[in-house]
Amino acid sequence: MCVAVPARVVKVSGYSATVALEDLTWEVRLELLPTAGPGDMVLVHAGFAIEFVDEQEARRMLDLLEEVLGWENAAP
Amino acid sequence: MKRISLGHGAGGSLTAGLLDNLFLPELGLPGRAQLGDAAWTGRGMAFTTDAFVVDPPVFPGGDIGRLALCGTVNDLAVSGARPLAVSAAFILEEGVELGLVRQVVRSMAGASREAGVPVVGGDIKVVGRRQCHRLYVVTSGIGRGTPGRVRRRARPKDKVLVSGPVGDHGAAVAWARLGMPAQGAPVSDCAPLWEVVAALLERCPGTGPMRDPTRGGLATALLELAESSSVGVELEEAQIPLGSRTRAATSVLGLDPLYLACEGRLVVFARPDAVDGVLDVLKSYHPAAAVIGTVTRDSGQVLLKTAAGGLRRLQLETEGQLPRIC
Amino acid sequence: MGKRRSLTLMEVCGTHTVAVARHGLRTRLRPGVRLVSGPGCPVCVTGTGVQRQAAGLARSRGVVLYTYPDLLRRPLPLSGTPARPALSAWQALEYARSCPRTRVVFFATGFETTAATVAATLREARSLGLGNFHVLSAARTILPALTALLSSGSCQVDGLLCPGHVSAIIGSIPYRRLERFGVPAVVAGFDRHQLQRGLAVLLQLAEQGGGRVVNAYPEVVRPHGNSLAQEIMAEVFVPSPAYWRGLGTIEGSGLALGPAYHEFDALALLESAAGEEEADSECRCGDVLRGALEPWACPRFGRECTPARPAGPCMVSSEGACAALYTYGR
Repeated sequence: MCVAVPARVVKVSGYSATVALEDLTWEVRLELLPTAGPGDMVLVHAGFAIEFVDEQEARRMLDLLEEVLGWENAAP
Repeated sequence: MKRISLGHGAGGSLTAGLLDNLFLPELGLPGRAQLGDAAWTGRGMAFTTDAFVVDPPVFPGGDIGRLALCGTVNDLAVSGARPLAVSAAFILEEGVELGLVRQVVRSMAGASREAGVPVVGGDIKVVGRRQCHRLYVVTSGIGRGTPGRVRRRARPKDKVLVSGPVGDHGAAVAWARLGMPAQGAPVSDCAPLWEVVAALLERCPGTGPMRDPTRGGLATALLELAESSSVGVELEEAQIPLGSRTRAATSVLGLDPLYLACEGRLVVFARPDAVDGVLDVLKSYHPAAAVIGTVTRDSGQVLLKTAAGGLRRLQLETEGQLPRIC
Repeated sequence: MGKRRSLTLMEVCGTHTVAVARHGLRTRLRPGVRLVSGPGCPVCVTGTGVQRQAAGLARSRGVVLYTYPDLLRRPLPLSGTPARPALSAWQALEYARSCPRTRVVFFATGFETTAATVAATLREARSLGLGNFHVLSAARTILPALTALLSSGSCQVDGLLCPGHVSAIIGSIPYRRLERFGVPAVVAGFDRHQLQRGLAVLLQLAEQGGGRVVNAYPEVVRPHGNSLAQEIMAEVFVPSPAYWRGLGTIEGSGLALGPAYHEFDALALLESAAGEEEADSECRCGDVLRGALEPWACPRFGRECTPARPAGPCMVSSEGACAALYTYGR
């Protein structure tokens, strides 16, 4: 289930936002993520932004994961 | 199962079944593997026909008028026939806007000039409200050439090439049909292909088979070609050109671009010693033309080596691609 | 601890099923490691009874029914009806606003990711006082099904790949409830890097043994998830029993509209109860959904049961275990 994509917030007007993925733009709702603002990367599902995408924090946590598990984050 | 379903029109296995079990035997036609995009009638004349019911009728990159003209020109072209003339029948829904009709006809005229193929006749019918959806177009075309000038069968070790990014038309229509915004939307690749085919035939004789991968996309075209040539195909996913807008739109909608229609692309098989020449010709028309795979002996099997390093076997889809959400 | 020779990993998300198949990731697993699909395809696990109810509403005069395109595939009950595809429940709401004299129903399936968006939409309907907007909910939550699966004993899995987008809503902490089963659970994303990462971590944990929850999708999954989304869901929905094809009825696994939202509940528009689920004693979908049977091991797979003529739910949805395998190949 749950096809969702990361997209960048371009414009916000109340609870309505325009998001962009490469050149593509479309409208989504912010009721589930009202603090999202222009420039934020958000995860979009079924017409709503549902969470922030945080690559930097993710990098940090994955490095920790590697340490803890001794698991190697092999290059793709 | 006694009724036609939407899936029967999708170009996948249901369509194939309908052809095999009803249309071809009833009309005394040869099996699907022997059918080309156009039929040779003798004396070097090729003939083809096509119906267009695209919804919405206007989309980024074109409309049903341009689509119809190019579609018929391309069916002749990939058979190796120089398109000579096209006829167009229009079925109009009562209440459809005159402005839309004019736009579509103008667009067809523009495509006709671009392709150098005149529209020499046609028909108009009007049906009651809701008996068709706005407008449908049926085109037929004749061309002249030599059957077999486009090589008919692929052979193991041939290379597979594509003339540009795939799935653009299908993605454009899917995005527009769902009412999504036009800004930054995928754009249909709808275009006439005779010029590039003629260049290939001239400069790279013996090239073929070739197909314009329309309904069902690249995957379906390759599956059909593999079956009719009794060969296999092994593709490299990383080599298949994909436009960024199409990649984005298909991610959002949960669609697979390999199964989305192209309306201005060629998929071509070339002998190993001729690949560079073919690629040069294709690249002169679109910079993203690429070699995407190799022909193998595994009859009918189309394998994709994925960018993740895995192996995926492509199959005919049952009905067309539907967006996925949940 | 040395490498265990054979391991069964299970993913429980239709989008994972499709992503694994599309990238051919099964062919990248070392010998002895199987990846099976569990009950993670909402369309597959939603009973035909409620789908037939939705189809009835779609055909009713004065009603326009919207649902996700996933539910409109042949031969699901909604195919061939006037039901319209919507990419979002919000689309149905906007239509209801624009056509106040039409009764608009949104048929909601899916897990927490989708349910959160439906809840937010219902809240808006309430604040607008929309009298012509209704939701028929077949939404459900994933943890009760995972608990039922792991406690049934008929499910032998050595590791669970958890749905990344559901987890964006609920967080990674809820999966700790599964620790008592001693099965590691790894939350994974969906692009090929995230998925390979999740599988690599899960494989390692499964080889070590022991129940442990690891979040391998920190880009969007936080330990507590999206608490606002959870609050909104709690405001709108109440847990209810839900029927899962292949698993039976699981208490508290469904999401029904709560009493405060009774006026929006499409159940009130229905004349009769859901009716019996179609029973098919030959159908092995239940075993497939439990991970006890591989799709190709089902006697009907590829014979009586194909995507063109699906006999059971796992073949109907493109995200079903059997359909995905059939379409994308082994």
